[in-house]
Amino acid sequence: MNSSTDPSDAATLGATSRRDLLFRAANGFGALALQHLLAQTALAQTAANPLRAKRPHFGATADAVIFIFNVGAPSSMDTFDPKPLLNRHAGEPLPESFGSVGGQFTDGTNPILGTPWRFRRYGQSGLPVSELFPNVARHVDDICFVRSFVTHSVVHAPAMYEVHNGRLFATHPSIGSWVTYGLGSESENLPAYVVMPQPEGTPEGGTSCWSQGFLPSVYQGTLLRPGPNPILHLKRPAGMTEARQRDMLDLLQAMNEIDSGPLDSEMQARIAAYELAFRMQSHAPEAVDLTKETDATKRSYGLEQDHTREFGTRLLLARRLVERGVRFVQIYSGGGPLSMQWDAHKHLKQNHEKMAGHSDVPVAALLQDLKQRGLLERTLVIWGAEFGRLPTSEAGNGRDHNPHGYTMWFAGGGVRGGQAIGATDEFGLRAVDRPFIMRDFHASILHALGLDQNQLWYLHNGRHEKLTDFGGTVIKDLFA
Amino acid sequence: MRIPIEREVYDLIFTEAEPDNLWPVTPDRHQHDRRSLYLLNKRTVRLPFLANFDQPDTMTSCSVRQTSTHALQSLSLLNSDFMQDQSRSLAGRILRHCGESDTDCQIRRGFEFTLARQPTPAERALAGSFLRSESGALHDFALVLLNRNEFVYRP
Repeated sequence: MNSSTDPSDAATLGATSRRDLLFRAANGFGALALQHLLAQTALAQTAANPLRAKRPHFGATADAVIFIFNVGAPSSMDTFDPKPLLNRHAGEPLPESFGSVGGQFTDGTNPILGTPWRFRRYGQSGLPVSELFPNVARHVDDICFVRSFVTHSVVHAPAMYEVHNGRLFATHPSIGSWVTYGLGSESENLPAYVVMPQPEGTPEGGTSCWSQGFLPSVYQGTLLRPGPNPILHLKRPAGMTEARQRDMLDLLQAMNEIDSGPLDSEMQARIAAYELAFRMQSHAPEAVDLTKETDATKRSYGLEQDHTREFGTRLLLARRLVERGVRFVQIYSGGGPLSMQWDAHKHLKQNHEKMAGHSDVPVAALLQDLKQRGLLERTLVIWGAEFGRLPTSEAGNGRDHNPHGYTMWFAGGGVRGGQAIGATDEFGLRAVDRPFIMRDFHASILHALGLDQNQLWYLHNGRHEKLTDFGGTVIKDLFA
Repeated sequence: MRIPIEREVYDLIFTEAEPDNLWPVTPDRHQHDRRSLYLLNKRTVRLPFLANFDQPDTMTSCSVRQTSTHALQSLSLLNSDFMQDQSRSLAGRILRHCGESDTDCQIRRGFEFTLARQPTPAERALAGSFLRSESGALHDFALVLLNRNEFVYRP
């Protein structure tokens, strides 16, 4: 077997020519008989759509994921993990017992920087949120904060890869690709895994952040753009009408049928791909057409305000996609020029107020909207980044990178809200209670989706590759 | 919907995969129709068209090439500028050989140019009724030939 997701690997065995089969099958000639048997049961048909919805390994609490990745790294101690000692000891060095923990540009000897923001407790759970996120704060009872994540690089790109694919390198499939590989799509007419970067540019890790790596390219993240042409090459060329293209496709499909034997599922898959492409041309623009949304909805996402319009638009798109069966939406707050990232090496106050200003209202609206439509129950919303920021100062008013302990949060999709798991030390430097690494993060997301991290694998270069490699620990407390 | 930055910039970022014009196209048309013996590869930035068709990752070694089949490939093969340009020039070449009205010649030449063989009677009939129909543009026929499984996938 080459992969873990198809019943008896039918897509591989049924799909291929005899030559292909002998080349691929570990059982050599023995598999020939098996191919015949599988073909008899018409399993070959199932290969026509490699993105067909697949059953999870066990009962899932989530069917879809919206992962909001905050590029450049927001500070945890200024948002969701209050550290009162920071302001009490501002200007002093960290206690000697902490050692000198540097970031990328500082050596850890700089004095402590107090937080410019006050925290308040919200909801029944009384969880604290800073003034940066007063709207998200209204949803704390649906949110589970994990305050003790750890990554292993102080540099953006490697840490981003670790969050996206579990490795410090760009070569492995992203979590969105793994999930799509494991579960396929609930949507007949849209890509399964959709990516929406900041319009000004990609994260520092580049397009590799949503790469399918060694997985087949059908599991790649599809870039979605606002406007009438949301997907690369979706728009028919000038002068090509739907009817004219239909006539052309009919000729093409008739000819391709001539090439195709009854058991040639690879060929059936190609024919099906053209039909899906044809349907996507009319369905994808509908999915991104926000004119169908009420004014109240648009207002709630901040579409009437300059500073929230862009991000609000993408989050509203995310909801529309999930509603239509898209499995995994990867969305970036920040990217491109430094001024459009959370990377507050200096002027922390201005930077975070600007970036949180873009996202607080839209993120809150997304949670509210999903909840109102009954989608939050089955949609896992993740808010995260590649690391947090140091308690010590940089340039007098900024913070350097801190992968030693930082906060990401989860909502919906079976998550038990109104709680915080794990803790950093009293200055927010290191995770001290229940530190979790990215393998734990990924195992937990897979778990919510009903996927067992060890049963989801793909044979690559002779190795059964898995998202969590040699395994992570599911954060069980995350779930109700 | 209002887009926060210029549409052209947006298109550049998202159709060419990365900002900063990482895959510039040379304005010299003669360079466009050459076969590549060696192709410039940027290790961390895959050319979207090739990535779509399972170009191996350029960061690590590749012991086995894999293939996948999906609708985004079909979209590229139907709608991309590249395929539109190619089918237009194929149609032009067929026209030069056969003229506007000789449908039989157009079908024969089309098959010879793309598949290096004569059409079967069944193919001749299919193509004939397409080209003689109201919407049967030669350009579309050329695009069909370039999308034909036998052309795209058979070595």
